[in-house]
Amino acid sequence: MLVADTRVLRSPNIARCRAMLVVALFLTWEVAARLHWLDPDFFSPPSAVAEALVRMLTNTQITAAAGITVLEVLYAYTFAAIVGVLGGLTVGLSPFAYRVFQPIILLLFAVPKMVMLPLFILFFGIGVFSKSVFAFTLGVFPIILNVIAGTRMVDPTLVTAAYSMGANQTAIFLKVVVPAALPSVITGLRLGMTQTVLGVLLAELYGASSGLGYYIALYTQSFKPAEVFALFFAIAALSIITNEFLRFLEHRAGQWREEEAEGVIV
Amino acid sequence: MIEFQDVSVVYAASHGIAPIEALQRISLAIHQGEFFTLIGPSGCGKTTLLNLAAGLRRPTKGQVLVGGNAIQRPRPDIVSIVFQEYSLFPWRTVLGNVEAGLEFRGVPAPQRRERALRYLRMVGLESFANAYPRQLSGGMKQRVAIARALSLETPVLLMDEPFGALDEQTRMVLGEELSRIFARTDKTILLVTHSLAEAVFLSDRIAVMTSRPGRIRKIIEVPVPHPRTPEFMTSDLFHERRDELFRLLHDEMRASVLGAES
Amino acid sequence: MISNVKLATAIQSTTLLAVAIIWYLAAASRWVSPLILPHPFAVVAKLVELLGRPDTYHHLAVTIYEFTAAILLALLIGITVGIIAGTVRYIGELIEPLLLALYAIPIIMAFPLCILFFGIGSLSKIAFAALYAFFPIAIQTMKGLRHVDRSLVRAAISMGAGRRQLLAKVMFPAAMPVIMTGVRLGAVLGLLSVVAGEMLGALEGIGQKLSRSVEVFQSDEAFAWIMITIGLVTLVNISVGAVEKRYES
Repeated sequence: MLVADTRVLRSPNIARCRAMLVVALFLTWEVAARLHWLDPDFFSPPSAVAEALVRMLTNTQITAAAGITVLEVLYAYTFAAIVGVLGGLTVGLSPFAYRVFQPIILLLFAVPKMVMLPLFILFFGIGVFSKSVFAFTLGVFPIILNVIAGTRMVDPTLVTAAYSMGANQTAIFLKVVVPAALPSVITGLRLGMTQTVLGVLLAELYGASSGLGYYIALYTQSFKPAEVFALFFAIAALSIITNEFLRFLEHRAGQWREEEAEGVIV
Repeated sequence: MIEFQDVSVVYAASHGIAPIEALQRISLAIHQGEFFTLIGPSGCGKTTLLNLAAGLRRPTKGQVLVGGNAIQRPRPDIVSIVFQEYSLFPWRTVLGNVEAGLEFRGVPAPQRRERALRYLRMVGLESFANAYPRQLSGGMKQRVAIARALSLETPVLLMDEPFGALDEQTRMVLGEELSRIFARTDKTILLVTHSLAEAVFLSDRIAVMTSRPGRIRKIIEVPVPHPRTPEFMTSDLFHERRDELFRLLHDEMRASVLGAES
Repeated sequence: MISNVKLATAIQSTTLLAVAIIWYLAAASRWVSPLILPHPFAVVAKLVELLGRPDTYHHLAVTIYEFTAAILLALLIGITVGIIAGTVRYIGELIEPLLLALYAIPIIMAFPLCILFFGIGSLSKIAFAALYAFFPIAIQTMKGLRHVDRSLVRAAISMGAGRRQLLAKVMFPAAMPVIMTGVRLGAVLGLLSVVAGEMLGALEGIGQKLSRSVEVFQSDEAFAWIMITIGLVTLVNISVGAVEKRYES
């Protein structure tokens, strides 16, 4: 009496159609730019963008800037992940800690950290540290909120069952809490990554003198749209790849779930 | 085998609710190898009584002994439990779930697998070893839960309304299966149920409980050997016992719904 | 014995109080330069002063105007796309992964492009915020419509509902809670994008004023503008949240 899998089969057909759609859009853009339907000074045709991208890959200044951006993301995200997961587990597993900290966390989350950016620059200056800290404050919240939600969603009857079978606290944590909460944790990590990257780029756009965001701003001011688009697409591509990878992990960790749980959307 | 010695359970007062006396001075002795059922109206404390034997709750007064051991916390070496809500780990396969109990007990890997498969075979689900709980029906999930409890090979098996969430036909079939398995092992089983038919079909003795605060009103005997057959359900003895249960319970149910607001 | 709830509240109040006290002490003792950390009283004074100036309201109006235009645009395009993708199965399946993937892009990068195209005026902010807000609105609308309880649809069809009636009277109302979540997210993101855009490159608006006051080291004014911004965001959050609650099933 197996329940049939009702998810629609993702036929390879539709994936191909999707790819063709994207290609078609790019082609339209190319043609429109060349035919001057779109102003090529602003809407550089994809071919020019690709050229600019290739040029930038060999430009040491750009690659150095990319290195800085990646570094800032890594600093911010590592801390956000550690604080988010550990903090989230603590708050999620202890009802008392939850009562104390959840309102505080929600309050801090509600304050738009974006407006604090000028202050951050004021306090910490313009360097890598300042940008990383700012991005950390953006990235930690999705992580901690989702970890809290995930641990609190663990079915208490499962914990009782494990306890009745002789599991001690460690075993219950490792074998019941962790697998049950894992999908939510990964969701949090995924959303946290998006927010961290956002934070880094925003900080670089705003007041930095280094990093890819700085170069995007620079190229904007010097009216080099091809370069701006090129950076845009490069970063977009990386973000999409990372996100899809994490979504894949999320799906694998959560396959046993009956329905699609939403997680805390940030 | 299981002894409740003058056991009382009182839930403490909280937030404007007065203390609740769930069980009042219950003394009960369940013999080794017996299939014993607790039945009573909702809220009579039968699940609480079961939880005492499971070590999931401590009595306010009195004590519970299983095989001579005083029970104060779960004793997976002596007692295994089947819950009403299956309590299967959804992220593990069927086999993984049956192995879970053995993992917690520290049984080494190769023996775990072999034992788990053996008990899956006993409940007839060996071919579903690699399926996930969400792919199974309610009846199948409960059979996995039973296999998991059996795999611990404890002398005592506790079952808290194990078939409560299943439809009538599945209940009957699983009841017959349970009787068959019971006959093959020498366990002592304590069952909690709402169903009169189930109680009479499966049990050697049935304790009828009163509405809250729970006391034992009467113990009924069903002297029929296991494994019991479907024909037993149409016999005079079956109907007699069932009617008696009905009469006893009906009074208690009325009292529990209409009377006891205390 | 203190109840858990009371203890928790006590800890929270103490923390808030501690933060306030530290701020006061740090500012009053000049341990941190007043250019960076203003005295709390100075902030309050500045806030009152700002709220008395008509100039403030002009900038507030600009921000609100940009936000409203952006949201309306995002709603228009987002809900339309959401309806198409949510009701026509093939299109939905085709573009859903695309939308979800695009949502992961740090759209903030698009802002410089918006400035390139639209200049430094309000239009760039409107375009950018609309782009940002579009995604949650479209995605949630699509999800909401796709996951409408089939039995409702069947019942309506059996009662003779035509396609348009089905959409307007059955599917859309049924999907409302999910759609409203998207609208709320879109509204908050939209407002924050407007402010961010004003901070990054604008001539008017509260984000611009905030950024400017930091540039000239007027920290008390900066804090005051932050409070005004938080006030506006909270207002929007609460209003849209209230509407969302009305639709909660």
